[in-house]
Amino acid sequence: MSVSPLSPLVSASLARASGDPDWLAAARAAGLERYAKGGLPSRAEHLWRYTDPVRLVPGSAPSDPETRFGDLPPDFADGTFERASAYAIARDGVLLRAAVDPLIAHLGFLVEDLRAAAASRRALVEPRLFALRDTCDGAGGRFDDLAAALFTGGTFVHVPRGVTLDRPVRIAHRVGGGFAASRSLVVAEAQCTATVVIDLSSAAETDAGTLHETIEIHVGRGAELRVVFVQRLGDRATHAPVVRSRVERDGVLDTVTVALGGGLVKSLQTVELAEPGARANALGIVFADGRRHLDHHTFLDHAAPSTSSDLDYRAAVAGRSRSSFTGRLRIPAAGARSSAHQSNRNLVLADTARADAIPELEILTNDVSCSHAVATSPIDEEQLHFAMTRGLSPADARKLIVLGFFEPALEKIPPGMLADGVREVLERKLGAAS
Amino acid sequence: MTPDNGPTPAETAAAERTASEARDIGGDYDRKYGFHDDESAYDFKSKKGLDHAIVEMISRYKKEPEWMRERRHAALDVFLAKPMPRWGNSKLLDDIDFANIHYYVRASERQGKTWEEVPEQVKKTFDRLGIPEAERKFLAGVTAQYESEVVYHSIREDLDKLGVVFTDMDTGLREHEEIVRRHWGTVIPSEDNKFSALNTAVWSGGSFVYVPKGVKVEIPLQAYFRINTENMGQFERTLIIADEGSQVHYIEGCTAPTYSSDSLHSAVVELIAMPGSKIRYTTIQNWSKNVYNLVTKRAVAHAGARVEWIDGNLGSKLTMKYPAVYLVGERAHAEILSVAFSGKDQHQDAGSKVVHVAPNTTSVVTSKSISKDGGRGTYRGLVKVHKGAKGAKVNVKCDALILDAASRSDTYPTMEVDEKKVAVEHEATVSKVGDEQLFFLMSRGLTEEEATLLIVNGFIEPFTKELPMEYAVELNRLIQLEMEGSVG
Amino acid sequence: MSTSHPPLLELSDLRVAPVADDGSVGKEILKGISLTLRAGTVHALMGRNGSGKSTLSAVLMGHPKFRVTGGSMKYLGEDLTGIPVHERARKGLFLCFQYPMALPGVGVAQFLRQSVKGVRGADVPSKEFRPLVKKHLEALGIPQTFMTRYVNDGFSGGEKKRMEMLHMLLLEPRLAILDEVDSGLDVDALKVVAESINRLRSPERGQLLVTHYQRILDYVVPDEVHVLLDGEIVRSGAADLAREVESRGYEWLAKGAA
Repeated sequence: MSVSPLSPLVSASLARASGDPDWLAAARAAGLERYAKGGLPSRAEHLWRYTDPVRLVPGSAPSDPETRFGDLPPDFADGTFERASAYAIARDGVLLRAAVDPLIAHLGFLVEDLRAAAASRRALVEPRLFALRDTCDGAGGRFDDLAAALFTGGTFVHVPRGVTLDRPVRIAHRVGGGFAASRSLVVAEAQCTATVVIDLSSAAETDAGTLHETIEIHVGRGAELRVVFVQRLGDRATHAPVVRSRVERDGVLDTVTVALGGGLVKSLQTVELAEPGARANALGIVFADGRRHLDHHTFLDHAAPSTSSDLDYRAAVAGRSRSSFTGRLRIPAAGARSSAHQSNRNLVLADTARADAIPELEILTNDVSCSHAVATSPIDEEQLHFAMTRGLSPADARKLIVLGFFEPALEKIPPGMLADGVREVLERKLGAAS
Repeated sequence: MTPDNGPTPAETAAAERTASEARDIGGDYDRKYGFHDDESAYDFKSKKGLDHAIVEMISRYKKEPEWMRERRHAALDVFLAKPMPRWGNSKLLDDIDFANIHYYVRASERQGKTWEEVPEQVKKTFDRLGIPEAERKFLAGVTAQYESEVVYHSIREDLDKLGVVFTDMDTGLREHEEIVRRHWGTVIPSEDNKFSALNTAVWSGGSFVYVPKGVKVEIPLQAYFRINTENMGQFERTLIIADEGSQVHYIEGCTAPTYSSDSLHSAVVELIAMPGSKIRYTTIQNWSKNVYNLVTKRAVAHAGARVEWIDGNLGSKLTMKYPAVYLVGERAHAEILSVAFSGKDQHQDAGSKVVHVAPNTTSVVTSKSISKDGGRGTYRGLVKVHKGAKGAKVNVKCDALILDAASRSDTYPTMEVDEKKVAVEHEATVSKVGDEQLFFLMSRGLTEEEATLLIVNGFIEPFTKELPMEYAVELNRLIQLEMEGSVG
Repeated sequence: MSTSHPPLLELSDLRVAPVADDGSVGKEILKGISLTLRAGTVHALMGRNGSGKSTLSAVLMGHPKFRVTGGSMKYLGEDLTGIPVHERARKGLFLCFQYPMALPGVGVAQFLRQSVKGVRGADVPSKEFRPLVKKHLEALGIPQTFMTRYVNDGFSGGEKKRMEMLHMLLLEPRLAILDEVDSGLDVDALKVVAESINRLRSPERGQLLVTHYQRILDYVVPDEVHVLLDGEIVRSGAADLAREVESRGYEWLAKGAA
């Protein structure tokens, strides 16, 4: 297995580093070195058994990002801050524009370009950026290093201690046909409460670009952070997101991950429950149709006592698509009195579709409450029948039940923020798939 | 015991009796199973290490047909070419020194037909294992494998009359060459994995069972395996064919004495369940805690057939064993029920593999794992539903009990579903012995140790109840031994 | 007898067998049922467990697990066999399930609205739908919060039956088939259910009550009673037949019984 020639990557990395502070340039170089040394993961590694890592290797150095975003998403368009406390738009990994509600700007929360913040707010950024190392035995994360070396930009969200944002921070990210690498940092300081909604789409439905994206999330003591990821890329796009989170004492991280698009997606999300009382709730919605290949991997590490997690990933597969979910849950000896539960449910909507489930438990101590469950089946015929006895057509009954299947996660998306958009996409896809 | 009154005096006395019996049967492994014989009495022992010369020698010595000799050599090439698996416990696997193993040992020249003919030293070994006693009571036939050759073998006449073949694999090859040649290696080809290749190259002994059409063998066929020589590999090979509509239950038990260096046991067991037949294969392995137990067990179930693996793992240093059933005929059914007990320095990496190929096939997998004193229990399973296996139903349930903070439990199931009309369910839980349960039992007069043992026994009861009585008793005793002193 | 108005329901020598998962057809459960239910009447179909009562309810609504193996079942003169389930609903049939399915994730309001839209063939404006629902909720003693729950998800037995009544009243079916609607209900809930059924009675509509016990018939008085035993109607009569069954049991009606 060959890694693409390094020299263009080296020069690209150097080019990106120009203008970065020294510590950031050094981090880029270190990332490149690790990538060069580590090579590609082997397909024999079980996290890569369903996805060939070669398909994620960029064929070239990152293309220059577009500077035009295009039409704004509908919920951005009214120009008010009725629904969001801040808006940001990014293109090919680079933040083009960001604005916070002037009425609450005095709270001091930040939504800005990460590279600019690295220079101007070093004290806030440097201790956190690249701080979340792989606690997952090197699994799946080697493209991390590449993205560290090459990232063109990203968003820095900082919510100060004790601040409550009553409306979400709304970020829209659009990618084109080239190779893009981005890196974002979300910091929720102690006792704050905030929601960040990030949606990702292709500039044009036919764009066949590749996005390597790393997001680091820090949840401070007692903070409550919700992050919603909505991925609606075009059918030909490739997406390799790595989301690493760390939760401190009594902090809560809620994530909602929605994957509806992309031709090839290889996603890794890790959460380290680093201090006692930390909690993570992770919901996932995966809808695979056409020839989509969606490979999601989660890793929850209960590194401290009395931590808890609850994960519920639901996938529906249609067409000739494939969804793989590998959910790893680890409670080391240090994680006594932790509680961890995972559930993965798969609805198979077509004979030609495929769903794989690999839930994994690694429990190294006894004082825990821990379980996982998997179920894979077609739509329940009795439910369909029941809905049809009340006058729904078979197609409508099907839509209703599949949407109901996803509803618990959709409910967690803040009102007026994409949830209806996601429902519409699902309805459209279900209409086409039935 | 009734919840209101606690144990009656009679029950308490019975419990004490059981406890004292348990002490009588050993208290430590060495006394019961850890003896080892004077090796100078061996007729023949191959030099350590593995090459084509050794394989040639084994085959020549056994005067095998040419095709078998060729298969051995081809398999050795596969073994040498295949890398060590990178999953499971790679660290322990990498410790295996293939050059430091005797691949073939023959304890005595001939095979005894009756107990009296068995050499005295071997007999003493078996006496201590309790085989003849068991035979007097109930055995259909005993095939006891002592080192690589079967030294004692008897089969009841009525089985003979029914046309049931139950013999060691070497004899099976000699006397039923055509049927062996047709089926041998068809379920587990030598290329399947590194250890099946190793077994194919150097196999010796094991059982061959053929049950003719429609014959139901009412009593279990039993075999004991035992490793005696230090640094010795045991590579038995078993093939069981249940012809259409027949039924058979095969039981094996395994023990090995304790040595300071490690031994390797790498068996291959192939089951072929023809349409409408039923095979149950029960194993209780209690290898000493320096044995690598790397076994490939697989069954093919044809239309309407039923295959049951009942698999108990107590001993060994590292076990990697995933009994498999390929459901290739419509309405075939697989049942895999396993218990793994991982104590100090032990890793039981066990599980199951179910492959649904045909429509309306069903499978039920139940795994119970107990870890203690730093032991590690791993459930590793694969459920694969191929396209076309419409109406397949799969139910997997894994429960792990961790008895102390130093021990570990892993669950690694994989479910690959390529068909729409299926119902696949998997559930796993990890728990400890509940404080409330303990408190309740102790409030009724049980010691903490007794209460824990009771809970553990209850935990594995779904397994125990599937065992013949004498095996269930033995298993409970072994677990009691493992549990002794477990409560500070 | 008028010929211009065909009966609401006309079963003639109806034979039904179950279909297994693998498509094979099993032994007949209904062995030739004949019955005529005219508009404006309530019929009660009584029988022990296993007599085939629920099979009849299910097959009338087109449950895929049953197949008509002989005879016919006509609704307003049209044979129902082969008509898709949702089309039957749109033609005015309603089955009140003994065990209504839970639809996790599907909100009650959303489901009802979509159902009414399907049956009426046109969307109902919110300003019409809301007061309509509110009226029925009040009559049924159901709190408004009911509407925000998921359909039958975590509902108690009584709540499920109220949900079915609500749905029935909203759809105003020409022919309602109520399968064991009284099972597991306390007296208060039973009265609510009976009131709903009575409210629906009109010269255009009909109801078929399928029940094991006579209890519900104290509140909804039937015009005709049929006793089903082992897949056949062994006796038909007026309302007093139900009371006779209540006091004497079913055994005396069995074939060969004196």
